[in-house]
Amino acid sequence: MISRRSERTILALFLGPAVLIVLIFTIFPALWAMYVSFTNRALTGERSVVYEFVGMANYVKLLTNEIFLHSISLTLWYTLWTNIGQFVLGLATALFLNRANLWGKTFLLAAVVLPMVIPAVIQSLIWSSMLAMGEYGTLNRIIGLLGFEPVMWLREAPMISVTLVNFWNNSGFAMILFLAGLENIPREVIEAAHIDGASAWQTLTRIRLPLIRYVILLWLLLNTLGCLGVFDLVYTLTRGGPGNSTQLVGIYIYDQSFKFYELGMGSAASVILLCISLVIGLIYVRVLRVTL
Amino acid sequence: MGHNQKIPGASLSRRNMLRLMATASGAAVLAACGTSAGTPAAGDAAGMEPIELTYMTPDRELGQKVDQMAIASFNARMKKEGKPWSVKGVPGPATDNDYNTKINVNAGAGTLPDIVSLGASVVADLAAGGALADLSGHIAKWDNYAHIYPVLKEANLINGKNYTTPGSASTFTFFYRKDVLAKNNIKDVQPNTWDDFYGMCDNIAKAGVAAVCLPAATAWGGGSWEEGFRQVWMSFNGEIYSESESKWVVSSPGLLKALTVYQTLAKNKWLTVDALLNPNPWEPTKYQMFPKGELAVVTGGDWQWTFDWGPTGATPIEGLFDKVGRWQFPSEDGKPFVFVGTGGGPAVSAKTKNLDAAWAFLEHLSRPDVACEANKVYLGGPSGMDNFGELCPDYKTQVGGKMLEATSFFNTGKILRNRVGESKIVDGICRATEDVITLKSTPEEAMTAFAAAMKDSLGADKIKQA
Repeated sequence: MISRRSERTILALFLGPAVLIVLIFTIFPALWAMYVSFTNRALTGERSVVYEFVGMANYVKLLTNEIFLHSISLTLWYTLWTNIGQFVLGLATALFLNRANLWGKTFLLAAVVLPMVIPAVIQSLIWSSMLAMGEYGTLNRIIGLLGFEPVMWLREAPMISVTLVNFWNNSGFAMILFLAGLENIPREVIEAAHIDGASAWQTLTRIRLPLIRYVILLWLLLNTLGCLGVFDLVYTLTRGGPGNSTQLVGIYIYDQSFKFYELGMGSAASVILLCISLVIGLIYVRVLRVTL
Repeated sequence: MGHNQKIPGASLSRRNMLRLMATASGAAVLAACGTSAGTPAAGDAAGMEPIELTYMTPDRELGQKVDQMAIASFNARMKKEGKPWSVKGVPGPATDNDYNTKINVNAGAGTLPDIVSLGASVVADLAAGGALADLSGHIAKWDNYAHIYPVLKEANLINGKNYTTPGSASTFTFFYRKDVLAKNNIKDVQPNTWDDFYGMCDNIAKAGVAAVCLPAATAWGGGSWEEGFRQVWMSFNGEIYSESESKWVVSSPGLLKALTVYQTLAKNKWLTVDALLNPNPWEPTKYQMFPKGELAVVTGGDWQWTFDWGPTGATPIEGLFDKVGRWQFPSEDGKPFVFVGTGGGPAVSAKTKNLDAAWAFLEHLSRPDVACEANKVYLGGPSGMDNFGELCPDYKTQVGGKMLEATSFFNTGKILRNRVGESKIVDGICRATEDVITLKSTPEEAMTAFAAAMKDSLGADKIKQA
């Protein structure tokens, strides 16, 4: 028998390392970034050694900076369309796979999930080759067979290309969650709806989706946070270009901090992104609670 | 479950749990110590502690081959001389932008490798940030110093100190396709003024060939400055850096004229704007269009003869010396010039494990016998030593004699010494040229924005508006 005190000690021992890691690698850096955001610290040069407190100056500059505001709007656009696209693809695949006795189900499941196990940088390199300009790009070779001229995909439709690539990369995650939710709906409920004369559409919209709504909201929360902070996929594909047409906030922060060496400005942009993520996250959590 | 209920499987007492964790922690510490103790190091003939230094250079195939040769010969030499010093190569990112980022992040974190190869534009700022060791004392006693071209010695000084070994240099000009001009009956003459150059671009464009790639915009990073803008800016009279006031000039008639060159080239569709906005703009331009003869003129330095278009380069051009020629940069006063890029090269971290050992490696790298052997694999630029041709006779004929030829410009070419704040100027110019070539801003607007940005990032006391 374990006493309450022993239980607490064991709990502390198990939780301690995790809490310590979160403190060291998440909380402390976040607090440090907040501190740096109020300074003019640079990554190199004299201001990397001697820097000053500048108050809200970095925030004022960012919030009146056309390029940064453009980055925020691009990030929101990317998040919105990624969520819509991945929801549709993920749900469609989950509904398709949620059928008893489906031949090749395991193979199909593996095929959809496969992109998730490939690192984002490798995925981006694969897509760089697919979308390469000129006659050498795989996609251009394919459309060339149909008689079309080569297209500079990442030049002419950069945001759409990046968003579509992300559909392929991460729809598997949505599918897994949705499928898990759908598999948990008792068969009797669906059969009862069918006996009552419900159509497939009515079964989907009035039975299945409401019953997996908490799964959808959880996915939406995780996916939205991931989209707001996206970096690797976009950086490897376009580096924020051409010009600043795919410069999402993640890229903007990287450019400010590590390309232009303005750590203060980069940290301020990070804090603004953190605030946006927190607000959206809190809204989702609130909705999730109400829904549950 | 109530607190007094037995947890299934929870038969481990608190004491045993603590013992288990203590054992695991102890094992981890021992394992860590074991790894540390097992680190290979050079022999210790003199009873001194073995020291293994790290040396970082960009992960480029040819450069890495040369580095490995130099490291191997250094380690063998140290062993023979009974010194407990050795060097280990640690390749960094291949592209300049990523490499500079890594260097600066490492410097900021205090984890810079012992020895690092640096581009010219980052040295002064790293030195100002206290990241680099002052090599002046060692250089003063260096045997080869007497043979370094005086202009390179002078250009290597930052506030009177040496942070890299003097001797790295590259001459910058336009490189053009002679065969493309001949095929289209375009007269091959050195453009003396920018109007001459525009006329040349117009003729090339009318022949259906892309006229010029002048590095610009943010995607090219430091290259937009080093391979493009600083030369264009220097082609107009007036200063870039005020020596007397120690200030960068961020607004001047010369700067405005330089930005106007970019606007003119972009407006007339002579400049490869689309390619310049690509993530790796040198690929479609220098590695695809120029070798195919679809682009007539590019800028760059001596390395292009080997690293870009040589037989073992990125995209070899067959009959390179027959097909490609060089033009000097045109200028406002009609006197074309070659730009001599100096500074940069291997530097030593201020936190190196042993400055003497690091210097021994730097000195080894610059030894004529080591350089001569390395040149057989890759020769990326002219030697900074005035007697190198005598010590290494092959050098005179290597790369068609182009490297030796380049040294003739050392005393007549224009130079720009590295100054604190240059990396900020580079970033500002990248953004300004991007706004101009995309026709988002006029040269006047771009210069105003550049001046404001530099006032912000360098400080009002470090800039001058002429």
